Amino acid sequence: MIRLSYYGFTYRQTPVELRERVVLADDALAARVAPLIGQAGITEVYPLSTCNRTELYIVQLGDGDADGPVRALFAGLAGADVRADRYLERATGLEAARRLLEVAAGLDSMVMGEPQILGQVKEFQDKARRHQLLGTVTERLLQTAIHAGKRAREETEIGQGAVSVSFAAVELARKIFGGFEHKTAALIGVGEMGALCARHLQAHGVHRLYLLNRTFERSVELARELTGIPVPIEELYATLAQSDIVISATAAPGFVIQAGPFRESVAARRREILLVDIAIPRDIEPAVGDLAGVFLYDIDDLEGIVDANRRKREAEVDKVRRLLLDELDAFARWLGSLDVTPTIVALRGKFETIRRRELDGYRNAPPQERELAERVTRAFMNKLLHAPVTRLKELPSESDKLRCSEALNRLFELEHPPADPEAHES
Amino acid sequence: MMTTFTFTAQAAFTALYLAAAYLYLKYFFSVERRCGLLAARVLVAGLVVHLAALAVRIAHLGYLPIATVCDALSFAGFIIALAYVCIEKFSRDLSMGAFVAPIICIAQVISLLWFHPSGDLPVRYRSPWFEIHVSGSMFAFASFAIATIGAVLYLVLYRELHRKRPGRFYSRLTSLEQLDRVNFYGSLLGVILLAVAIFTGFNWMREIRASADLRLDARIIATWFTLAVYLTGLVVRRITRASGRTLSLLSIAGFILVVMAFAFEGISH
Repeated sequence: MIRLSYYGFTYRQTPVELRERVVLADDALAARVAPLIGQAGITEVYPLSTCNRTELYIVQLGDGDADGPVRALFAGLAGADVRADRYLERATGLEAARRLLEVAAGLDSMVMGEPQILGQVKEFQDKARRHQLLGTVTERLLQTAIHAGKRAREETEIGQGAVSVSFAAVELARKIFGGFEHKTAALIGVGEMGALCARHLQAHGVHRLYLLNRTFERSVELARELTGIPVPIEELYATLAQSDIVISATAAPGFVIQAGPFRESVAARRREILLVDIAIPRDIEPAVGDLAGVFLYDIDDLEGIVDANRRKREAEVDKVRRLLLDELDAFARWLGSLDVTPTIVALRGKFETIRRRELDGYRNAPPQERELAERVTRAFMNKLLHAPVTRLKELPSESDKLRCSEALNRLFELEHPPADPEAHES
Repeated sequence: MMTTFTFTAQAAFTALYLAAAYLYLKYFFSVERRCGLLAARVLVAGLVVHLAALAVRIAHLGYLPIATVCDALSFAGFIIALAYVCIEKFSRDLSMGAFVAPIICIAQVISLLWFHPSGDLPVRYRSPWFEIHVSGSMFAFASFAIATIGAVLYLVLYRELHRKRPGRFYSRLTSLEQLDRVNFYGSLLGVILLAVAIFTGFNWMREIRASADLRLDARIIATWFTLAVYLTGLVVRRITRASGRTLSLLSIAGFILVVMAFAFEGISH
């Protein structure tokens, strides 16, 4: 009998102090996770370790109890001074599979729908393969989870819209200018938030980046790091006239950019300009935003966009869950097909269907001939199936049964009825 | 026989255009990219069927079948679809399809409802000048139509961005700059094609009447005005680097004149 279990520490229940101890680095995979194989009937393990979670997805054949070895593994990682047990989450059967699907779809992430987790799932798939931890069931589960994760992002809005202020600023710029290849950006005030936005813009390929600060030396310093161009603050309006994207994040008490001089300096450019004011108190006089071709967003506007995007993502959760249920159902059907009995039933069913179809061709034959054909084909079918069915039942190990069932399913393209989701629950 | 073929073919590509419009709209109002990708393929399939039908009819008639309102409308829809497919391939953006495909459908459905295919063409219309004139006008119309769709979407997105209330258009449409590019190049191409159409129309009139007749009827005035408005928009933009918003407004005004010119064209025929 195949059993699937999940053990994990996640940010929902486990404090960071413990999460950082149970991280599964490459050496831990080799030294601690790989030895799980063979204990308590464990045949496959898929480990996943990110900053928000450390999880193990385990496949067992037979009746062994995986709790002991898994708890011992985590106790070893956590150290004797912590009771890791208290925070360990556990699930079995399809509930365990559902956990991985939700993780891959970003439903279990701190930032709902974030895309990085799907890459991390794949990264750990590669690592687990290198350490020979995966097998038929975990490979199929991962295939299902990755497919479900992709579908969730393609077919719903779970991953749409920026959910951080700095990304919202970049998204706005992208919505106005498309690409940044020929665009010039200016950062006024070289504080942490402004620098973060500037880094995002540079990562998206902005052509030129001007850095302006009251203390010119700090602009020079950041310019070195970001490969930008430091500009004295006295040249502010001349720089604005050349810029397409302006991010202002100074700690100045009054308006740094005023409507009058701004109007005069940008009058000749007649191109759209995006001004992002993330300073408190604000750096840009609100009247600037009334000018044609000027898009002025302050911190409240950006947070409004971020909030709207978060709400939109939350509204998509039900849609994603329905999609995951489809994927889970297909996985359950496949998992059910690996048991010997359903495979034998499906194999017999397949042969019987072929036999019936062939006999249909003789339905106009005399009754005696039809009866003879019925008897002969049935006996022929039973004799053909007798040896493989008996051998399959007599196979000594569960893993052999699993392999043979899967081979039969593939060779004969066996179809299994939809599985009962409860059937694989503990 | 040919009439049955024309009607069947037209029904077939109209059905494909309708399916494409449905899928583009579904893509716009949901987020399923595969709907958008499928829509793009169905639109191309519609274009291929349309092109094949046109080829058969050209082979049969010996001229481009655009002599009746029914055929002219259908051909206009074909050109718009062709132009849009090129833009889509270039920009890799599927969102404009939700606005272009319904226009193609409207043209095809009206054409199908007023089904009256071109038959024998009077001798005066059997001139290469006339064919270039009419097809040039059609291509210009299609370019202006696409430019106008770009202009309208530009203004809608501009409004959402300026009011700081990003809504559906914000999340679905391509960037302002891309829409501006569609508007600019659509207008530019339209102006060139319209100039070609005017020049060849002038030559055709000279050919059939031995002297060019430049009566200033409503159709010709509307055409000249159209050219003037679009040219002004392009020149103003070039010289003063006017914003995309200005060109969008001029583009929409120009297209109203285009529609008027075509309406006068229909009345005069």
